Amino acid sequence: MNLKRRAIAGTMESSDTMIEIIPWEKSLEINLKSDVEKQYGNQILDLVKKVLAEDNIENACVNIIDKGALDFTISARLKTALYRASK
Amino acid sequence: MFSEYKKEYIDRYNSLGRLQTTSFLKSINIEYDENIDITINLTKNDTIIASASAEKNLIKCIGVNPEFRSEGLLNTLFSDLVAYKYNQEIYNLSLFTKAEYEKLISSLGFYTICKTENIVFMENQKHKFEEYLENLPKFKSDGSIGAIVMNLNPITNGHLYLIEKAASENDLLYIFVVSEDQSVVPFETRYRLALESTKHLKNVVIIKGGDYIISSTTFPSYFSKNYNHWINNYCELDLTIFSKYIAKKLNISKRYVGTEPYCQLTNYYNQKMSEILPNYGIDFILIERLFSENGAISASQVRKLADEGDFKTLKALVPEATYNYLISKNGGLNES
Amino acid sequence: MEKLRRTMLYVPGNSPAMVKDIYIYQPDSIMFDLEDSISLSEKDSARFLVSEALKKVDYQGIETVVRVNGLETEFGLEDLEMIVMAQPDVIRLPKTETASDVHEVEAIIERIEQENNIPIGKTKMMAAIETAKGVVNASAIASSSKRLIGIALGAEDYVTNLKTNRSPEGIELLFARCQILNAARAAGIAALDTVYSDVENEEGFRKEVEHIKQLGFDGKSIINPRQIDIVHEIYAPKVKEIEHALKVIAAIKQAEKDNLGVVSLNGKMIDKPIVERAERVLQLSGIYNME
Repeated sequence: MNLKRRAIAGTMESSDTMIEIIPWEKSLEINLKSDVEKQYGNQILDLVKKVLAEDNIENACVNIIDKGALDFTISARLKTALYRASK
Repeated sequence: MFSEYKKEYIDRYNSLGRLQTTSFLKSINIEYDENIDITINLTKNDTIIASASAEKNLIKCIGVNPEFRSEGLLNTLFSDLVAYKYNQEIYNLSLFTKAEYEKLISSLGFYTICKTENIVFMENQKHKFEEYLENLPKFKSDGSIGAIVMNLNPITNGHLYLIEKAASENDLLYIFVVSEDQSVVPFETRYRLALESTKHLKNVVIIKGGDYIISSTTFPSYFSKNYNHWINNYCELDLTIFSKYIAKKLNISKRYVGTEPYCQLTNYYNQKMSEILPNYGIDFILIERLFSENGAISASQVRKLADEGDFKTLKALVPEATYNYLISKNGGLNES
Repeated sequence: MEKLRRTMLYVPGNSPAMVKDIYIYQPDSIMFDLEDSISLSEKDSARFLVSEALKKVDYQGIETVVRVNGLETEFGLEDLEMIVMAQPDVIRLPKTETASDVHEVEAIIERIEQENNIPIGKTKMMAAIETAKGVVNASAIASSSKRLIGIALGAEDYVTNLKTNRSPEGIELLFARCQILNAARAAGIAALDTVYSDVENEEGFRKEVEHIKQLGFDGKSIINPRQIDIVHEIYAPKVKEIEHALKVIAAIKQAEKDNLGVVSLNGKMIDKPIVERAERVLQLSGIYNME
């Protein structure tokens, strides 16, 4: 996938996640701010990396503000941000 | 569908909406700001229960009806504001808020840039301030390094006098040009004229102030009804950012200002500076303004003369670059 | 046996909290909305969220329906492309006016099923009728496709089209309701009534549900979980009805055992419509086991 611009998706409401994608020259950087970082931080990062890998995303900064979202929500918001970033 | 709240977007042309917002904010002791370009409200049964606004990239006038404080309404409002501004390609949002709200705002994706006893300045980009500090041109120096913060709207001989004096007393002198674009002369022009007019001074570095040299026009007026309290908060915050981070990064040990015969706010600010700077080991140096036969040379005086087309008088008061700029505007400054 | 569709609960497709928890309320069907409740700037967001939810959340056997945007909008086609792959039970079309509206969408669904190894015909459809023209064509719409499992009335746009407004008694909807119901029954599919938006007015809601139940509707579109129990309660058969239905079914079973061609109960002949009604009563009362 070719990222053309920065984009954002989702909200900071309870059970949701706000994800921002910023294409850049440097290698992949993921910044996670989560209410449940201790318990689920790694799980969230793994999921995010998996989705990014599916689209071959390597040069981007991904900022995540998580408010207790389930996996399907994180996936959806990330995919939406990628979709918006590639338009 | 199950949501009991409705959302409304109010732009600057929606006077009824702005009026209703003003009224709501007043009920929770917040004053609306006429410069706001977007307001987002959450309403229940046609009554506003929460509101958040922004002027360009500065979030302002955030308020929630106390009855609804535990409902995460700010999460909704902030998400919307971020998305709205993103659509306008404004990605860096900042805000000033009471220190007691730091944690709350931080949970909404904001990072603290600077905190004083009463006020905290935050923005939603994690590394922006660090990068700003990293990118400031640093120089090695055995002697002292000085600094002046100036609007230069446009640069006059009065400014030049101050600059030359300070430059002569230091190994290196930084001139921070305030980026705030509410000045009559656009920022890029002010910066360019400053560069040209100081070419002859080898130890002077002109820097774009950026978002971290806060001007009094940016600092919100709603923090207190009491002018003195407001000034205190503003000055303290601005001077703390300057002293604690910027001056420290660049090893600045002296800050210069010209005496201020005309503006009360500037005078007050200078006074606060004399109190705060020494706490950070920075000397505060007041230099007497340059006087012409018409009194102290000031930028506003120069703009007035240009407006009136009196270029003869003007010529003696400004450096060549400024003079050429003002002439090229065909006998008058365009209000942009 | 026909599927119960007493309550179809609307969920705004862009709300994670609602999308994930919705099955708790146990409606007969869940309708994820990508259309009217979603703002233009969030249409893509809702599409992805509903798609991921359908793939990953367990809706405990409750029928999943997705209301997509119309094909005439810039979102409709993309909605179908992504949602069909996530395999909801039913795709609901907004604002259907003619049989060819249904055919157009059906062709796309079929193509997507084919391209993605989904059994052809697995994705069902539902059509919402929201205009006078649609009401006129109700019969053609109801029989337009094997995939169509039901048609519904969308009153808000319809009354505007009629140049009137909604009233508590709903006389302005009478013709449309009857037309849609009749068309549905003639085609052997379900008929659903429109939403009742005044959530606070329980009395008014009950009246409307009683009314449409008497007309013969299978059920209603629901916008608030509080409305679910009320509808289920009103649709629940009375004890006498249940007792009678049990007797009918028992008589049928006995006749089968005894190999009798004609069955009677209390001197009355039990023919097919009576059996169907009895089965429906038992289904509505929650007694599914006929053995």
